[in-house]
Amino acid sequence: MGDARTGTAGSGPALWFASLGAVVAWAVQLSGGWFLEEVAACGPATASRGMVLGASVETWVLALTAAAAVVALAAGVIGFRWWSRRRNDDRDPRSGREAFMAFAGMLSAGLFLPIIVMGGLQVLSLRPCSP
Amino acid sequence: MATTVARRMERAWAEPRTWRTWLTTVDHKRIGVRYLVTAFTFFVLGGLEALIIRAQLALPDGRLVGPEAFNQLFSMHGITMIFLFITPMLSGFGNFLIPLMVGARDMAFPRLNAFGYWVFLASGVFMYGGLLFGVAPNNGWFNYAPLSGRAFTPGLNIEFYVLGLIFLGISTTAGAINFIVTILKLRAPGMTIARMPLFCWALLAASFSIVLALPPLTAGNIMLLVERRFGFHFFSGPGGDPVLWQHLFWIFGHPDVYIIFLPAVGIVSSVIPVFSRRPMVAYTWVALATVATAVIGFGVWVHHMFAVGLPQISMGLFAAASMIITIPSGVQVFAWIATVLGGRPRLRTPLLFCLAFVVVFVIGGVTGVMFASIPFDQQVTDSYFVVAHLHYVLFGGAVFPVFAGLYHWVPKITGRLLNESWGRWSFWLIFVGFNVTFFPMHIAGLLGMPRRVWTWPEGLGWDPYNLLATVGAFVLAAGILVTAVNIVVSRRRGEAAGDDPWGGDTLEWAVGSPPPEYDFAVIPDVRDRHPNWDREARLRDAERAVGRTPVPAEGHRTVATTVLDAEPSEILEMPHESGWPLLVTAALALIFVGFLTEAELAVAAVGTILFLVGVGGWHLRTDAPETAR
Amino acid sequence: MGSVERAEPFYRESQPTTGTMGMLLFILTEAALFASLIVSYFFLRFRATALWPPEGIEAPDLLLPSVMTVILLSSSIPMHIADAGIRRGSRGRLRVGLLCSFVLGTTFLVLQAFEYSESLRQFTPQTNAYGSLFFLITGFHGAHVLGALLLNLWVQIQAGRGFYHGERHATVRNVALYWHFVDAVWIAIFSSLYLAAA
Repeated sequence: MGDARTGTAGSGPALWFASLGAVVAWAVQLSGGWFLEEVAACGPATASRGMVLGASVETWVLALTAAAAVVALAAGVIGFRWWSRRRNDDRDPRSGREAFMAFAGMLSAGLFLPIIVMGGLQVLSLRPCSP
Repeated sequence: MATTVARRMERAWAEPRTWRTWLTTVDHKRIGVRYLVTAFTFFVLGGLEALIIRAQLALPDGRLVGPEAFNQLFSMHGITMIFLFITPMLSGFGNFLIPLMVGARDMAFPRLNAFGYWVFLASGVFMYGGLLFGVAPNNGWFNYAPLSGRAFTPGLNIEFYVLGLIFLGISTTAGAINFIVTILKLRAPGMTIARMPLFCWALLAASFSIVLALPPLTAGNIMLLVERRFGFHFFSGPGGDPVLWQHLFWIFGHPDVYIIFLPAVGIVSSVIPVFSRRPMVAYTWVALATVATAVIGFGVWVHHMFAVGLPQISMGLFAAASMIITIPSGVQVFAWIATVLGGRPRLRTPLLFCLAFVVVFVIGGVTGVMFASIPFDQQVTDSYFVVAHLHYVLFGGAVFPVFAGLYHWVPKITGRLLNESWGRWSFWLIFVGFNVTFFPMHIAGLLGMPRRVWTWPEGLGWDPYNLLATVGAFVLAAGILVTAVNIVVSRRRGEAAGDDPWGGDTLEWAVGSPPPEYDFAVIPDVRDRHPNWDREARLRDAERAVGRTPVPAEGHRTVATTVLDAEPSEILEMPHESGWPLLVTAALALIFVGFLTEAELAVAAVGTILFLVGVGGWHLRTDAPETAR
Repeated sequence: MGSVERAEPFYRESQPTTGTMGMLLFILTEAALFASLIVSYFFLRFRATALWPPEGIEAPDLLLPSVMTVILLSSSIPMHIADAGIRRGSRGRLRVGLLCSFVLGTTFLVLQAFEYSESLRQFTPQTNAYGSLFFLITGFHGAHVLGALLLNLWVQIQAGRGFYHGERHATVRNVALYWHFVDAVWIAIFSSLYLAAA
C-alpha cells in the first residue's frame, strides 16, 4: 500500500478496512456460529450438548455477534468520514475512486449490520441443538 | 478510419481463415461466439427435454416415457440448463464483450480462453454421451447421497455426473480467472474501478464467486467418485454422513444462483440506460449491490436444507442472511425503474425483455423471500411451488436478460440488425408462454404436487394446472424458435447495423460491427463512466490513430494498467494462435473417459503424460530461450 | 500466459503481472478446495463417531510427520533464495535454490510413502471415514507436491538453458508462489489431521 498521493497501489489499510470490514465480520459470525452449533456442539459425538469449551452456544453466538457488530460499525464510520472528505473532489480520478470505495464501505456496513444483529439476537428465543 | 495504425494492426492481428485457425484461434470474439452458439445448442437440447417432461405430465397417468427415462430427462434438463447453457452463455457474452468494454485487444490469457471453450465443449459432449447410452445422470441436478451411492445407483449414471462436472469445472474456473485478470488489469487508462461498466462489475463479482464456490462442489464430486469407484466412505458406510454432501453441494449451489443471475443483471444494467437514453441511476449503489449479492450469496446455503433437521440457531443465522439478501436486489430493481422513468425510453425488443425481466424477477423474489421463513419453507419444500419459484428466478432472472442481450449485441457481433417485429412476436410468445407454464405450478405445488414425480393420478385437483403448464411450454418454445430463426435469417438479410445502432455508452460501440480483429486501433483514453458518450475523447482517439502515439501502435500487444486507478503499468505481448489448448483438452478428455472403464488408472496415466506434453508445449513458445527470438 | 516485455515509458515494478495475478487466483481456488476437504474432515469427525480416531486405530504418531513438516517447510527457504536471487540477476542462486528445494520436496514425498506403508497396516481408505479422509486429504496434497516438483523441474530446465535473467523472471515468481502455497497447505493439514487428532 503506497502513500495516498504518490503510491501506485491502494490507499492504505484504513480504506480497505472501511470497504471490507463489515463483510468479513459477518462472514466470521456466520461460519463461526454455524460450525460451533451444528458441528461442534450438537453432533451425536458431543459429550455435553450445547456447550463448546465450557461456554454455552448462546454465549458464543452473542460474543461473536457483539464483536462482529462493533467491527462492522467501525468500518461504516471510517467509510463515512473518508467519503465525506473526498466526495466533492471528483476531478482527480484517484480521489473519485477513493470516494467510491469509502461509499461502498459505508453502504455495506448498513447492509451487514442488520444481518449480524438479526442473526445474533435469535439466540434470545431459540434453544440450541433443537431441530 | 483506414489509417496507417489500423492497417498495421490488421497485419499483426489478422488470423488467416483456414481450418487450421478454426482449431487454433485465440481471438476472444471468435471464442465468444462459439460459447454463445454451443450454449444455445444446449439450451435447445434442454428445452426439448423439458417439452418431453411437460408432455408426459400434461394429463393424469401419462405414459409417454417410463420412470427411468423420466429420471434421466429431468436430471439432464437441470444439468443442461444450469451448467451447460446459462453459465457458458453468459461467459459467451463476457468473452465477446469484456475486452471491448474495457478497451483491450484481447482477454488477459487468450490461449487459456481457447482452452476453456474446448473443455466446455468436451465436457458437454461427455455428459450427453451418457444419454446416448441410456445411462445419463438420473438423480436430479443436486445428486443427493445416499441415492447417488453405488448401492442404490449401480450404473454409470452418477459417474457421468461426477466426472462431467469436475471436467466442466476446469473450464468454468479457467474462464473466471481470465475474466478477473482481464477486468482488473486490462482496463484502458483512466477507467478506474469507479468508472467500470456495470456489466464488468457483474462479471467480476460472478467470477470471484466461481473461484470460491466451485471448489466445494469439486471436492464433493471427488469424494463421491472415490467412494463409488474405490470404496471410500464419506457419505455412507462407517463414519460417513449424507448431510455432508448436502452442505458441500449447496455451499456451491446457492452462490451458483448468483453466478448465473449476476451477469444476467449486468446485461440488464447495460441495456436499460442505453434504451432509456440516460445514465444508469445510482451507479455506485448498483455496483455495490452486485458485489454484496455475490458475497451474501455465500451465507444462505442452509436455506436449501431447512427441512433436513438441522439445529435452530444455525438455521436462524442463515435465515437472517436469506432475508437481507433481498435488499441489494431491491436496490437494483428501483434503480432500473428510476432509470426508465427518468429517461426517454425507446420500447425496442431489448428493453421489452428487460422490463419483463423486472416483473418476473420480482415475482420470483417474492416467493424466494417466503422460503427464508423456515416454517413456510418446511411446508412447501420439494413441491412444485419450488419448481415454480426457481423457474421464475432462473428463467425470469437469467433467460429474459439473455434474450435482451441477444437483441442488443447480436448486431455488434454480426453487423446486421435483427428484425424488430419478429423480435416483438418472439417476446410476447416467450412472456405469455413463460407465465402460463410456470405460474400454475405455484398452485399445483400448494395443492401438494411433489416435484420429480414421473406421472400423477387423477382426482387430486391438479389437472388444470398441469395442462395449462404444458400448453404454455409449447408457446414458450415457439417464442424461442422465432428468435433463433430471426438471428439466422438476419445474418444474411438484416439491415446493416453500423458501429453504434443504439447510441450505447460503453466502448464496444466505439468500434466497427463486427469489430476488427485487433478491437481498437488505439487503446482509448477514458475520462468518465460513459466513454462512448465522451465524443471529444473518441475524436482524439481517432486523431491519435494517425499520428505518433504513446500506446502500442504496432505488434501483437495490448496495455495493462493498475488494478484500482487504471494507470498504465506495462505493455503485454499477446500470444498468437495455438493448437496446444486443444491437445491439452484431448488429454483431459482421455483421463475422464478412462474413469468410465475398469482400466481407469492405466488410461489416466497415458492421459497424464499427454497432458504434461501439452502443457509443456504450450509454455515452450512463451518461454523460448532469448537467442531464439 | 503472455510473456511480459519491459517497455517504455511506464513500466511499474510494484504491480503484479497478469501472470502472477492469474497464479494468485489459481492458488485462491485451490485453497478453497483444500478448505472444503478440511471442513469435511471436521464435519465428519464431530458428527459421526464418539471416538476419534475410531476404535481399532491408534492416534497418529507425531514423530515422522513432524520431520516431514520441517523438511517441507524448510524447502520454501531455498525457493525464496532462488526467486529473490534471479530478481537481482543471480543465475547461480536461482539454480542452487531450485535444486535444494527440489531435493527437499522429493524427500518429503519419499517419507510420505514410508508413512503410508506404516499406516496401511492399521487401516486402509476402505476401513471407515477416518481412513478415507486421511488418505484422500494427504494423498491429494501429495499430488500437489508432485505437481510443484514438476513445475520446479521445468524452471530448472529453462534456467539451465539460460532463459531467466534480472529482467525476465515472471515464471520463477509464479512457480515460487505455488510452491509456498503447497507448503502452507501442509501446515493446515498437519494441524488438523495429526496435531488435533493425537
